[in-house]
Amino acid sequence: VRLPAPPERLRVGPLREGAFPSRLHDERVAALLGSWLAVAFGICMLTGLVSHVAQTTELLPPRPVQLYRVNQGLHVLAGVAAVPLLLAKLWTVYPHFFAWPPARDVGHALERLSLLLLVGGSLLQLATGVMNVASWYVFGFFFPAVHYWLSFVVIGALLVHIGLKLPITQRALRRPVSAARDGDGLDRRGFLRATAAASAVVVTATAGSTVPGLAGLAVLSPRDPRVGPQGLPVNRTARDAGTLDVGASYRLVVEGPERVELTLADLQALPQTTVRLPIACVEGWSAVGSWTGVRLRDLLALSGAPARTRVLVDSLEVGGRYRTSVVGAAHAADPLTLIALRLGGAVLHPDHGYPARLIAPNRPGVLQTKWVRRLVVL
Amino acid sequence: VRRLLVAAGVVLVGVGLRGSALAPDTAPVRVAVLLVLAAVLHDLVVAPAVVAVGAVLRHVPGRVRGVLQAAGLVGGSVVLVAVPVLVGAGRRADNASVLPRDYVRGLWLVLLVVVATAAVLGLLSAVRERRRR
Repeated sequence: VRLPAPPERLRVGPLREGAFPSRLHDERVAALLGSWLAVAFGICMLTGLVSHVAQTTELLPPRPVQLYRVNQGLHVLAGVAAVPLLLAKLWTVYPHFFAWPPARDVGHALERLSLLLLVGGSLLQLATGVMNVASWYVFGFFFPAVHYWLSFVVIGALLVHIGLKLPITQRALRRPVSAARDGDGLDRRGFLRATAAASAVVVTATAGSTVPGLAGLAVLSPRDPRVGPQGLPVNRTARDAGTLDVGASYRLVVEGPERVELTLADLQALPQTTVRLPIACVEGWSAVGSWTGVRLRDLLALSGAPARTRVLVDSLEVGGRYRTSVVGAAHAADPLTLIALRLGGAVLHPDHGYPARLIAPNRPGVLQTKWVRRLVVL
Repeated sequence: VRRLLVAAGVVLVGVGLRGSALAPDTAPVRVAVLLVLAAVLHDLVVAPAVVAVGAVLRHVPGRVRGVLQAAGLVGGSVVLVAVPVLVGAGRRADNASVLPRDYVRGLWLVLLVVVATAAVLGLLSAVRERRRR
């Protein structure tokens, strides 16, 4: 269905033909940037789904130990890398925003509406994502839920976009890129290289929050894996959680077939194991600690429960979304899963969960429950 | 394939919109407003600003312009990504491990490296071109 064109005298300013003279507003540049962006968004979506499974189910296996850590590092870094790519891509196709007539027919109008979802959604995902990793929680909604659902909108709108543009993209990618310098300033190749460089620079300036050895370079990263109580970052402090005063009356209760109550001295008297495991935050930072404590499966055995059993871990925290967490059967039986009492050889700092915390392999940081007071066999 | 992509895309958008509207803690109205605002802010403020800078740069001669364009693209991206840590609204009195660095210093360092690199690359390509002649 064709739509009536608006009167020609409204076609002024950027709506005029040839209003954008730069040779960088080019089909091939747009196709290349779009392909790069699709890879970055694809990584974000896949790693995001893995994280969603890790956060909301018990399906993630305890091995490989570093899986969640690498997954979240990739997720956040791919998102950061996508910022320059998205802006360069949008700038390349910006003249189309002023296409004349604004909508040729109903199909064209619907396509432009889907582009609003794609462009607005992509910008919102990247902006709130970058803000979220800097702990700037001002959105007025629960970020994980919105980030998750909006990702389907964005990826869906992206698939529609790719489906509609595929012939143009293929045509553009087959065309050889002209290296000849036609005039002054940045040529197309230079523009693509500068965009790639922008992605590389923002990734380099932030990757050290999770990649070992790069912390010194990460001058713009919101976390330093070496900085925090006992040399390890924390998200929720003991003051936040209301767990600053844990006295001699502390007991760890194990509710299995039998009910067992253990004092801190009892826990310290049990066989101790030391493991090197990372705290891997959903926000993309991670830091490895040397944790010492009692194997979870040993505690389960004390209460007469089998090692392979689901366990509810209950914290002293007075409130909060993550006061309790569930340890799946495979994680509970794993020899690396501890109720840790010490970090780096010293008694746990209150912010790291004194007197006792859960630490398990391949598990999101927020589910490594701190200030543990009760283990309930499910 | 194209029809399949479009159909799958429409389904995913539907799933996402439904989830955004019905799932708990999502504030759908606020998200919708912010989504449109993000697009409007980009299309009517950010992009025109970049176009305006580009128009000014047209008066800069030859190779210097290329260097400025590249440095501006990279530097601008860095500044934008750094805004949340520069604002520092996430800082908390009882948690020194959140935003522990001097980000103003970090930003200047990165920008210095970017400008220096762009200048050196520009010089090198000028030398190369002169030799070729």
